Amino acid sequence: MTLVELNQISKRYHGEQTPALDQLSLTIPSGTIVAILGMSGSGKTTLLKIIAGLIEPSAGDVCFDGISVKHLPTEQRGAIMVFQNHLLFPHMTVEQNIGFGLKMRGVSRSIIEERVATMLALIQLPALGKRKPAQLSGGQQQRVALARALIVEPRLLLLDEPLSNLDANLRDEMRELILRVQRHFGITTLVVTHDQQDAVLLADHIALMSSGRLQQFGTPDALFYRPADEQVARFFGGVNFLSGEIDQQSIRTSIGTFCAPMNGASGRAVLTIRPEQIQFCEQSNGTNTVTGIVEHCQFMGIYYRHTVRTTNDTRLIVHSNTPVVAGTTGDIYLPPEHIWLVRSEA
Amino acid sequence: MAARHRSTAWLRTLTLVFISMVLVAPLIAFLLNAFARSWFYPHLIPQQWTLEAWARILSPQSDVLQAMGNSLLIAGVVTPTALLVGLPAGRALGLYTFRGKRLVEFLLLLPAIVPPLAVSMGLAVNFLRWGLAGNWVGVSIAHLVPVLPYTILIFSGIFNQYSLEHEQQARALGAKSWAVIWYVTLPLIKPGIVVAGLFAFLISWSQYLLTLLIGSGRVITLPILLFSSAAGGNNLTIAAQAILFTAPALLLLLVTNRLLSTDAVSGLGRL
Amino acid sequence: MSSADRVSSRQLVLLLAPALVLVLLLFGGGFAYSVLQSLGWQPLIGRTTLSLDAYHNLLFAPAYQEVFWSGLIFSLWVSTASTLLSAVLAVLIALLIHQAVQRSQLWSFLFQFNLPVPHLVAAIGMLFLLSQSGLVSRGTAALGLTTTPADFPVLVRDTSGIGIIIAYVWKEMPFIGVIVFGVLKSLNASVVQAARNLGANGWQRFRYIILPLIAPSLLSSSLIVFAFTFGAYEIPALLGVRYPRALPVTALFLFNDADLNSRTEAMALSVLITLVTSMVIGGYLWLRGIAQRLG
Repeated sequence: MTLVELNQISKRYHGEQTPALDQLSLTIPSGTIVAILGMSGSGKTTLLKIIAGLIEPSAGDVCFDGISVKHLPTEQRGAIMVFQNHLLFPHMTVEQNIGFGLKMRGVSRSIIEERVATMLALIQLPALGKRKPAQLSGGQQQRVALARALIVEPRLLLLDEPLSNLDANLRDEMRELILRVQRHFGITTLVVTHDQQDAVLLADHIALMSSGRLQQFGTPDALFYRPADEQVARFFGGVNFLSGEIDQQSIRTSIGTFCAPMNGASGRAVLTIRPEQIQFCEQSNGTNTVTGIVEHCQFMGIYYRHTVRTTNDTRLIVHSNTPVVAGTTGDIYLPPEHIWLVRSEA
Repeated sequence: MAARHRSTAWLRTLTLVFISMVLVAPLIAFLLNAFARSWFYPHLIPQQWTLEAWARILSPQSDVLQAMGNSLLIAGVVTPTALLVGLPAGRALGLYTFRGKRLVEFLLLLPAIVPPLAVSMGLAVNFLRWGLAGNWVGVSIAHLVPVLPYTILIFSGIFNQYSLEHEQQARALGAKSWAVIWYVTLPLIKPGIVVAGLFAFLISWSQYLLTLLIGSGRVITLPILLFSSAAGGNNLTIAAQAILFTAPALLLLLVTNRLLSTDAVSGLGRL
Repeated sequence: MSSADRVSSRQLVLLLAPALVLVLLLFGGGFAYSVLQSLGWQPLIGRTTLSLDAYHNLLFAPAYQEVFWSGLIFSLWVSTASTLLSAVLAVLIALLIHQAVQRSQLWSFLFQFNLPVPHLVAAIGMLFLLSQSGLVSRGTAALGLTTTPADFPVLVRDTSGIGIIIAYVWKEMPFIGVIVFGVLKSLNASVVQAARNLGANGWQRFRYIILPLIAPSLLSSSLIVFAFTFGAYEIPALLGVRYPRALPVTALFLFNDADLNSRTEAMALSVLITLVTSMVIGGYLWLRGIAQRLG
C-alpha cells in the first residue's frame, strides 16, 4: 500500500542528444495498478528501472510514502521487479527461485518452505516445485517470476511487459492472475506495456509516455474519450481530426461548423471524434451533419469500416455494424456530446 | 553512494595494475638481462649494456641459429601434416553426429591432456628400433601426438558453426568434389586454418621433453638449447635465447588476437 | 550441426581414419609399449615374462621407495598448492576485471599475454626474479629490507617447491582466469541485477548466483591444471632440488640411467603418473558434461 511520487525525473545517457526521460512527474495512488504505456523507445522501462533502483536518474527524485528513496540501493528499496524475460536463476529449482528473496532476508527454512508452497498454489503450479526453469514453458516461467517477487511482500510491484512474450490465451490467464493477485494483496503495481489493450484491461490508471515525456495520466476511459492532445488520440486509435477555429459554442472547420463542448478551449483547436461514434443518418437535420460519399467499405469482422469523402476531399472514418455500400451519397452526423476538442499543434 | 563507487574503482584499478606488474615482471627481467654486459647485485638496472649476445647468436657458427633452424624445420613439417590430418577429422566431428562419436572425440583429444612422459618413453624405445630416434624425422612424427588434438579441436569448433549450404549450392551448380573443396570449403574456413596452423606451429616449437627423448640428445632444438643454457648460468645467453624462443608465440598472439576464441586462447596455455 | 545430414559411413571413415590411425599408433602404441615395458617386457635384454616387479620395487624396494614416496608427496603438494592458488587468484581477478566495466577489454588482455610463454621460459624467468641475487632480492635491498643475497629467502631450488609453485601459478592463473572470465561475460548480467533487486548483497550475489554458475568451468579447468602440473617435467627440473624430487623428474632420471634394468622402473613410474592424471581427467570430463547441460 505504498504511494509513489516521481518528481521531475530525468535521465540522460552519455553522448546522446535526446534524454531518455525528460522531467517526468507522476503520482501513483496507493494500492492501484497503473499501466505505463508507450511505444518502444518512449523510456518506460528506463523509468521502471529508476523506480526499482537499478538505474540512477540524472535528476529528479523518487518518493515512497513521502520519503525519498533515491539514495537507497535497489536491494533495500522493496520495489521488486519482474523482468520481461523473467530472469529466473537457471541453476536453481522453481522452489529455490521463489524462496530466494526470503533466503536473502534470513528467514528460516521451514517458513520459507511454507510460504513457497502457498505461492505455488496461488500461481497454480503446485506440482512443479522441483523443476528447473529450463523445463518450464514461457507462461509458467513468467508466473514463477511473479511469485518470486510477491513472496517478499514488496512495497511496490514492477512488471516489465508481463504479457508481451505470451500468446493470446496465455495472455488472458496471466492478466487474470495479475488482477487477482493485486486485488488480494493490494500492492501498488506498475505495469509497463506497449499494448494499449492490455493497459486498458489491466489498469486503474494509465500513464501514456512518448519520447521520455508524460503525455497524459488518467483512467482508461479518459485517455480513450478525452485525450490530452492529438498524439494521445492517435495512440488510442483516433483517426478523425479536423482543425478549426472556435466561435462561441462551436468550432468552424473546413467542412462545416459543429457544436461541441468547449472544455476551456479557445482560438484554434482540433476536433476529434471516434469513428464508431459518427452516425449515418437519413437526411440532414442541419446541425453537426455533413454530406459525403462512401469511398470504401471494409469488413473488419466485428464492424464495417467506411471511408467517407466530404467537402474539399476531407475524409472521415466511420465504423458501423451494418455496411453502407461504396458509392452511396448521404449524410453523417457528429453528435456534439461525442466530439472532443484538443489543442492545435500548428 | 557515488563516492563509494569511486573509491572502490580506485582500489580495483590499483590491484589490477599491481597484478599486471607481477605478470610482466619476468619478461622485463629477460629483456634487461639480454642486453646487460655486467649486472651485479645489488644493482636494479644493468651497469653496462651490450649487444654482444645478439651478435654471437646471429653469427654463422652460432649453435643458436642451428637450433632455431631445427626448430623451424620440425615445426615447418609438423604444421602442414597436422593440418592435413586434422582438418578432415575436425570436419567429421564438427558437422556430424554418429554412433560412437563421444568415444572418438575422447580418443582424439586424449593426447592433449595426458602427460607426455609415458608416451614419449614408449615411443623413444620403439623409434630406436626403427631408426627414427635421434633424427628430425622421428621427432617430427612424435610431435604430431600433442599437436594433432589441438588442430582437431579447432577445426571441430569451426565446422560446428559451418553450414553445408554453400557446398551444396556449388555442387548443384556442377562443381566436382575437388573444386568444391578448393573454391568453397577452404576459403570459408581460412581463419580457422590460420589459427590451427598457428597452434600446430607453436606447440611443436615449444616441445621439450618429447624432442629430448625421441631426439636422444642429438636433435638440438631451441628449447633443448635453452634448457642446457639455463642449467649452465650465463644470464646474458640465457636471456637472449629465451627471448628468441618466446618471440614467435607472443608475436603470433598479437597478430591473431581477434581471431581467437576463449577456448583457443586458453588452449594456448598448454604450451 | 545437423544430424540429419546424410553422410555415408564410408565418408566418415575416410575423414577420421588418418587422425585415428596416427593417434592409435603413436599415442596408443607408445603408451601400450610403456605399459608392457613396465611389466618387465624387455626383449632387448631377453626378458619376456610379465610381472609387477617394477611397481613393487617402486613402492617398497629400499632402492626406490624413498624416492617414490617423497616424490609422490612432493608432486601432490606442488600440484594442489599451485591449483588452489591459481584458481582462487583467477576468480578474484576475473571478478575484478568483470566489474571494471569501462576498460574490461584492456584488462582482459592481462590474462592473455603470458599464455603463450612456454613453461620452460616461465621457469627461467622465476630464476631471474626470485633467486637470492635476483631482481626481487635487489628490490628488497633497495628498500633496505635486506643487505646481502643471503638475507633473501631461498625461493627457487628449495626443498619446499615454492619456486615451482610460484612459476606454475604465474602460468596457470591466467589459464583458469581466461575460462572463468569467459563464463562471467556470458552470464546474463540482468540475472545478477534481479538477485540484487530481490535483496541480495554483494557477497550473497557471489555465493548464490555467480559461484554456482562458474563452478563447473572453474572446477574443470582446475582439474586440468592439477593433472598438468602433476605430470610436467620442465619446471620442476629447472627449479627443483635433488631431494625431494618431483616424480616426472625422477622418471626421466631413471630412464636415462645407464643400467637398463632401471628402465623398467622408469616406465612403471611414468605409467603410475599417467594413471593419476587420467583419474583426474575423468573427473574433468564428467564435470564438463554437467557444465554443458547447465549452459
